[in-house]
Amino acid sequence: MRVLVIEDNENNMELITFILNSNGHETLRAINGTMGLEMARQEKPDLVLLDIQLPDISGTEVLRRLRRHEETATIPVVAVTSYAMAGDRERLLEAGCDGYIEKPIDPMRFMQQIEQATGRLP
Amino acid sequence: MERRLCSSRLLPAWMPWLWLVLLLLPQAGTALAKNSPLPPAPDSVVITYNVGNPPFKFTDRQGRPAGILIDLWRLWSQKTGVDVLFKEALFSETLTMLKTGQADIHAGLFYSRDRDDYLDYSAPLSGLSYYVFHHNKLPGPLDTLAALTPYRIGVPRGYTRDFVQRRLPGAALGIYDNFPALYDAALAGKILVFVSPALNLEYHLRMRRISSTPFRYNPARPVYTRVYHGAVAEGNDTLLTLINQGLARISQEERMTIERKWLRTVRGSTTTSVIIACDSDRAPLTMLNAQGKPAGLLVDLWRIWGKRQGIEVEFLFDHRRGAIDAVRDGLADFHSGLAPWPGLDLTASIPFYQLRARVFVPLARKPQTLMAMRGHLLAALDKNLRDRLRKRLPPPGQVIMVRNYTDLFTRIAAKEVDGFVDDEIVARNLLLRQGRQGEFTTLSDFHLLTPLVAVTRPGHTALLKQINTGLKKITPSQIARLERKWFSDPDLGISNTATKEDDGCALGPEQRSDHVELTKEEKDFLHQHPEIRVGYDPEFFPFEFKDKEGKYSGIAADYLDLLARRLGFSLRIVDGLSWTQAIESIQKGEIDLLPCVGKTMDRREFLSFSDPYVSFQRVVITRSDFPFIQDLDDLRRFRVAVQANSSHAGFLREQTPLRPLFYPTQADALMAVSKKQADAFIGNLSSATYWIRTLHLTNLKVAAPAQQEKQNLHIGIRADWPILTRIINKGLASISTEEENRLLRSWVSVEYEPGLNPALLRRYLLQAVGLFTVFLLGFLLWNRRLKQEVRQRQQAQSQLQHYAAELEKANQELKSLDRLKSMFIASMSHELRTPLNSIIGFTGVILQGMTGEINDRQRDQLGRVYRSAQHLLALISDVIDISKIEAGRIETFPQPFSLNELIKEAAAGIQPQLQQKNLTLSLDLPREINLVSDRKRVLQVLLNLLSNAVKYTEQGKIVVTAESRGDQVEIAVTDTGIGIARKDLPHLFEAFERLDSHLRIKAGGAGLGLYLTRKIVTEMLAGEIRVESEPGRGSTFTLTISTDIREKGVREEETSNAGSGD
Repeated sequence: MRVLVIEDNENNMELITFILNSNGHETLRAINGTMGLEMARQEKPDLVLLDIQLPDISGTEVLRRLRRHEETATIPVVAVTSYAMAGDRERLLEAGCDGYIEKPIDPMRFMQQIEQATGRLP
Repeated sequence: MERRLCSSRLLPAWMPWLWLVLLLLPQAGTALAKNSPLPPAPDSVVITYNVGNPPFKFTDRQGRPAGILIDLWRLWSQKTGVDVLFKEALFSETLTMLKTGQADIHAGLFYSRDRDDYLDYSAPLSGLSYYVFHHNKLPGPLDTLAALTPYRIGVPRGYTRDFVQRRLPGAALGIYDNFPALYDAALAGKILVFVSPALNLEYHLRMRRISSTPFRYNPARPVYTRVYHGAVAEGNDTLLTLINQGLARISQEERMTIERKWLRTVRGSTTTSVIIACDSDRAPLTMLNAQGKPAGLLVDLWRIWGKRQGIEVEFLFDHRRGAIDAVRDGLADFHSGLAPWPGLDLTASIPFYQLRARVFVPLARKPQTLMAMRGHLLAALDKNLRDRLRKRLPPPGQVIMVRNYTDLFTRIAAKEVDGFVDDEIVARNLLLRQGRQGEFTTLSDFHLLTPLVAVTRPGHTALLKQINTGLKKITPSQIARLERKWFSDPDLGISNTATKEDDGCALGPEQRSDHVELTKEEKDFLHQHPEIRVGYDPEFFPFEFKDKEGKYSGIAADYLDLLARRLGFSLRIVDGLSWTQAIESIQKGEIDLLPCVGKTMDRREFLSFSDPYVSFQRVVITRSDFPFIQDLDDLRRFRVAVQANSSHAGFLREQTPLRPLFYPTQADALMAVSKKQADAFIGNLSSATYWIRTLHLTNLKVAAPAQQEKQNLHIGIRADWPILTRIINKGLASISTEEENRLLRSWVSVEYEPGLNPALLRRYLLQAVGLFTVFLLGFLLWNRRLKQEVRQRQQAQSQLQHYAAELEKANQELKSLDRLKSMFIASMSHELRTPLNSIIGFTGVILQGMTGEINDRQRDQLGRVYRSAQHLLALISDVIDISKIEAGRIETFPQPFSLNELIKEAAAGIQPQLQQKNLTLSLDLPREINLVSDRKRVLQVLLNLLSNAVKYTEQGKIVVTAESRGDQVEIAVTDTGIGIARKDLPHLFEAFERLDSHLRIKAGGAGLGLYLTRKIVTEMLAGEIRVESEPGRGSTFTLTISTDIREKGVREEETSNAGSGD
């Protein structure tokens, strides 16, 4: 699977891509929303992991734009977001998110969480 | 077509890709095979690469292989699933390694017939075009080898030299060992023409941070193009096929992405750095210094901005128009600062600085005023200034535009123009450099303040937002510092940041001081004493201190700066004094003012105090293992350390019987406690926290407040100048709440810069724990203080009506304290959680064995790190929740859900702990119950109760029941654990309450769980919680919450700010 990871924190990026790569997945990295959108359109990944707090445009906005674009509308998107964002779950699911993983990322459960969120075998 | 090569400038996108045609030809055959299965592949291959060939292949500063070809092989590895291991070597060694089988693949070399004997070449990897470069002072066109014959041609040894010699027999050559040596010679002016790939030169310049060079080339006419191939030992056909099929799977797009990353030939998608266009002739604002490096006040300012925003910045230099055009053409992201004019087709940031323009005229003309310049011809270098001067110059005078200073001074010398308008600081700097400062004077009646803005192409809203956010974080004292650094005469500086669009630059400092009305006597005083001498404590962080650059900084520094500008006096900061010396100096009359002092009796003899403007909490700090103390009385038998001459020392002497030990600095006093030379330290919370962290004193804790009231800080003025105290009080009164917030805000977030090297995991964790302990205790003390103030306030209210005024004041203080607390927590929470996320994540990765095998002991120890970090994270989350609830800043999100499902979810969550202790959990859920409540919070409460039940139960079972009673539902968690003594029941839900100390050790935790649980239940879920227990028999916690919290009017106020705390 080719997974696009949109995440601005370098440590989190390293962690997520490491876990994905270790499980045999290819990763594409984007460190802000604009770059993420561009890469999603160009690369058409099989899955997008989306941080909600991004430096340029919010993750929710990225999600909306992904959904609006025909080419990217059907790519499954899983939000990876921090604590204290109560209510975001609903907002995100409404905006067309396929699932939701709360930080901190637990490597023991991460792949399983993706599986649950997308309903597909990673 | 000829262009100048700047490191930041772009090549036409298509030109360097000509070699792709070459590349695609052999691929046409393999294209069919693109999706065919790969031949049987080895698990891994060793790729050797020769070092020192940037940007294609080299070893970077961290010792890792890097470069275009390296990235290409990494991508190849992903496509084929074959792991690659890189081995660096000298070029000749790389060939030997292939021959001897020490390496399987060569990362990239050019085809040569003699190597063909023992190597097989892969499909092309990447192409490289060589061009003729010439100095721009040579007459063109010089874009073919033949045209170079009159000059000595710079070439590196090897193929390029041979090629040029073959084509131009008899040409004079300057031969260098390698390309970097060649470039250095060219930059030093030793050769004027040379042959080189554009990519290598561009990369070299970028690495040297050289922004522009005088060399030009014609990208349309490469002299020749060479192609990099991978190579294997002769006859290794299986591997060669694998290589070629893997390469065929790499799309052209992917190749371009890699090359862009290294050369950024096309800007935007793969880089985080921004390019800022600067005028090369605008010293001291922007210039290229003697080493050709970007320098100047604005360059520094944007570097600060970049650092604050986490963005790497690069500078592109060109002359006035060129710099603006660079933004228009997309060569740069924005312009470093210009005065906008009507009709400018670029989008402007908020104004962030201002310049004063003046009219300069030759002294010989004896002009005095603009009015006297009637009928004269003036010159401008900038449209904005031209237009604004035109409006003021009496007709028939005229203002014309000149292109640059050379043009300007030629015209002045020829008396074609009578003077010029320019930004004062720039013009004076220029005249000074030319040694002509005595030749010009300025007209007395023309001062024009122009705002500086950054400009971007329209539509770049995200960038513009980033620019503005970053600019707002730059403080006036930072700007003032830059002015002191760059301006020969700091009086020419403006020291003014306009952070709001609607005020700011249109107002000069003169107008601003009008806000403060001074009496004639006061004005006279300031007139007679235009300079106030200031002494300070170099270690009183964050109030005042000497920063890393040795400059006076801090909250007090910013206040003083603002006061000086507003009241119109200047400051002379007397450096090099310790705090003791500063106190002595003011007694001797050698300085006039101490910006940040606490009131003590004996200081009244030589100081008069301004109104308080900032405050702190005085606390007792002890070693972590020191017995619990409640207040200062408990310290009687112990050695107390305090900074000599501090207000804390005065406080101890005047108000307590303690006989402290004196230390010259706070740091010394804290160190003494840490090293057991003393037992307790008295000082202020903020500074102490700062020093504890800076000095890595992990064995200290905040033990108790030293005083219930918070301590005010004042500006101390020499006692014989009461008039200055009055003036300063007027100045302080003129500072709006908004300005105050801004001044404080810049110091709350200043010192935390996230970022973690996973290798420092353990040390970091220790620091985090230490930091958190300090923070947590500080927070709880703060809280206790708040509660007490509330109680006091209520008493006073009922007692006496005429204390209303004082109450109002107390109220204000309370609010500001609360605001400070919220700010503090908001900024801390994220900072604390971010590194923890990495600790948990990477520890988890290692524990899972994803990075390789670990032994049992390592697993055990890492497991401890992992669980401790999880625990710490939970505590931080609790603190954030508590603070939010207490500040009324938490939102509830009512939604319908099934309680039974939620209870099952909680039960599943607790399963691992249950299994560990071999306990059983039974659920008694007689019928379906539906709630409209905050699902997340109900779950949190349940999990908390369940985890407590497990924690305190050694054998038996845990039962959860749920029953609905009217519009309420009752959920009970019963355990067969140790139970709770009757005397402890009343305090159970208080913060830091835990029962027997042996439990403390066993169960761990800071005792916030039930405190938070009750807060959530009562304040968010419209319910209550109660407990029944018998020691030895077990406990039942019963939760009664509303079935529909929408009807209960649970606090919904102030929700607009909530939800963004982390």
